Amino acid sequence: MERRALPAALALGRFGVLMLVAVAALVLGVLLDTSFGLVEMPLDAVWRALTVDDGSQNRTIIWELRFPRALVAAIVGASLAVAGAVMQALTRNPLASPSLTGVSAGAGLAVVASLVLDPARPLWLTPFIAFLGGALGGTVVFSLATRSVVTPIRLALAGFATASLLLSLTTGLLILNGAIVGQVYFWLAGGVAGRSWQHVNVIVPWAIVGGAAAMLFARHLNILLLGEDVARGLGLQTGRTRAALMIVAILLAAAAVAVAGPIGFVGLISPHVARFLVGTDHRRLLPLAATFGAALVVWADLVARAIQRPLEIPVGIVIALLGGPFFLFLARRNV
Amino acid sequence: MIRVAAVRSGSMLVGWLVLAGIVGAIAIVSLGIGQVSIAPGEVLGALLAGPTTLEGRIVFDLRLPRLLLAMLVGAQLAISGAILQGVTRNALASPDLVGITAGAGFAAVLIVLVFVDAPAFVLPLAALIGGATSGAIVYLLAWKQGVSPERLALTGIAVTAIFQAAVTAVVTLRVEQAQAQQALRWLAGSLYGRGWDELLVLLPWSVVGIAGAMLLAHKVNILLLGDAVASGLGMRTERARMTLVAIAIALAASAVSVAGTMAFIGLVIPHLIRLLIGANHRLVLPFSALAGAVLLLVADDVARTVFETREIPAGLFTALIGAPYFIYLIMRRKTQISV
Repeated sequence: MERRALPAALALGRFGVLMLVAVAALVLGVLLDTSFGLVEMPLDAVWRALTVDDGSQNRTIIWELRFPRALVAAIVGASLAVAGAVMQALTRNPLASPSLTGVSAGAGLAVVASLVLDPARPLWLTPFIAFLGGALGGTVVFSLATRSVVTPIRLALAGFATASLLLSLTTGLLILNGAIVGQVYFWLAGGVAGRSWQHVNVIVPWAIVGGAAAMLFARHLNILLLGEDVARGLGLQTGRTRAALMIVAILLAAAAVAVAGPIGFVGLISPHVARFLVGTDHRRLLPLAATFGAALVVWADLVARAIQRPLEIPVGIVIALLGGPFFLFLARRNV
Repeated sequence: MIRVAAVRSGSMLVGWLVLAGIVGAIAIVSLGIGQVSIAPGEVLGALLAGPTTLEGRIVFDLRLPRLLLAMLVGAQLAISGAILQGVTRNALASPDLVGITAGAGFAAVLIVLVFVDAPAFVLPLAALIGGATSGAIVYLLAWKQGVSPERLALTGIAVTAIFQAAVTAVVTLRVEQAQAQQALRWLAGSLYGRGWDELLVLLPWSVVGIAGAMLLAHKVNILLLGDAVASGLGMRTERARMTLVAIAIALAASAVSVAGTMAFIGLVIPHLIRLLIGANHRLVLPFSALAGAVLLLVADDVARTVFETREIPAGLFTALIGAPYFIYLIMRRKTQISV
C-alpha cells in the first residue's frame, strides 16, 4: 500500500511543480505582453495600472488595449490546446489537432462567409457560426478515423487535404468580396491584434464550458485510450462518449477561431509537451496542456510584436514558424 | 509483328490527331468566351488577321497569351508530378506535396516584394533555387532507411506550412491592406492579368523542360523496375534520377513563378492518366501534359467567366477537384506504384 502511495504522491508533486512553472510562465508572459508596446512601462507600473483605476492614460492603455489582448491570446491558446488533446485521445492519433482535421479551416470558412453575408452581425454570434463550420469541416476526417486502413499519418494527410480545400473556398469568397479582404487576410493568418474586452466576453463562456466538460470527461478519455473493446468492456458507452467529447473539442476550437482566426499548431504541440511531461492521464494532461498552450500564444504574441516594430505580424505566423519544425519532428518519429 | 507495330503506330497517330483537334477546339472556344464574347469563326479570323480589329486585339493581346500560359503551366505541373511519382515510385508525390511549390513560391514572393528592382527573368531562376532547396530539405528530412510515400507527403506538408508562414510574414510586413487581394490571388494560383511578357519569361523553361522530359521518359520506365534491375540494364540510376528530378523541379518552379500555387494538378493528372493507360511513361508524360493543359485551360475559363465582373483564382477549381481525389487516394491501401 505504502509502496504504491509514495510514487503517486511523487507524481502529484511533480505535476504540481510543473503546473506552477507553467502558470508562472503564463503570468510573466501576460505581464510582459502588457508592458510592451509604443509606450513602454516597467512591470510595477503595469501592475499598478492593472490593479488601481486611477484614470490615468497608462491605465487606459493597459486596461483597455493591452491586457484584454493578452487575455484573448491566453484563452485562445488554452482552448486550442485542450481541443487538440481531446482530439488526439479520441482518434488515438498523435497528429490530430484542430488544424490538421479541417475543423479550424471549416470554422474559418464559416466565419468569412458570415462576414460576407452580413458584416454587421453581432460578435457573440460568431462562435456559433464557427462551430457549425468546424463541425462540417471535421466530418470527413472524423468519419474516416475509425477505419482500420487509416493510419495516423493518412488521417493527417486527409485532414490537410480537407483543410486546403476549405481554405481555397475561403480565399475565393474573399477575392469575390474585395471590400473585406485586407482585414480578413490578416485574420486568416491567426492574430490577436486589436482584440478587446468584447472579444474576451465572447470567448470566456465557451472556454469555461468546454474546459470544464473536458475535465469532467478526463477519465473517459483515459479509458478510450485503451481501445474500443476494453472501453466497452469497462462499461463505457463509447459511441455516445466519443460524440460528446468530439462536440466539446470542436466547440473549443471553433470559439478560438471565432475570436483569433485559425491559429495552427497550438493544438498539436501543447498536448505533446504535456504528455511528455506528465504522461497520458488526462486529469493532469489537460490542465497542463491548457496552461502551456496559453503561455505559448502569449509569448508568441510578444515575439510577433517585437520583430519589426511598430509593425506586427500575425501571431499565427510566429507559431507556425515554431510549430512547423516540431511537426517535422513528430512526422519523423511516428512513421 | 512488324505489321502490328505499324498498325499500332498508325492508330496512335490518328489518336493523337483527334486529341489535338479536341484541344484545339477547346482553345478556340475558350478564346471566344469572356466579357466580350466572340464566335469561334471570328476568333479564327482574328487569329489570322492579328490585332487589327477590336476583337482581334482582345483575342490577340489579352486572351491568347493567357490561354497559352494556362496550357503551359498545366502541362508543366502535370509532367512534373508524373516524373516525381515515377522516379520515387510514390503515388503521393507531386510538386506541391514534396514542398517544391512552397519553396518556389517563397522565393518568388521575396523577389516580387523585397527585391523589387530585379529584372523579370530572375523570377523563375529564384523560384528554381527555392523549389530545389525546399525539395531537397523535404527529401532529406523524410529519409529514414528509405522514404515511405506517406512520410514524404507529411514532411512536405510540414515544410510547406513553414514556407507559407514565411510568405505570410513577408506579405504582412510589405503589403498594404489594399494590395492584399492581389497577394491572395497569386497565392491561391491565378493567371489574372498575365500576358505576353510573362509568357516570354516562361517559354524557354517550358520548351527545354518539356522536351527534356519527353526525351528521358523511357528512363522513368526503367527506374520503375527498381534500382537493382535498372543498374543491371546498364543504367546509371542515381544520375538518371537526379536529372529527371531536376527537370521536374524546373518545370514546377517556373510554373509557380508566373501562376502562383496551383494546387493538386501535379498530383491528380498523372495518377488519372496511369489509371487510364498504364505505367508506360513514354505515354504517361505526353498524355499528362495534354490533360494538365486542358484542365488548367478549362479551370481558367471558369475562373474568369463564372462571376460577371470579378474573377476568382483558377487554383480554387483545381483544389476543388484535387483535394477529394487526394483523400480517396490515401484511403486506399496502397500508395506505392507498381509496374
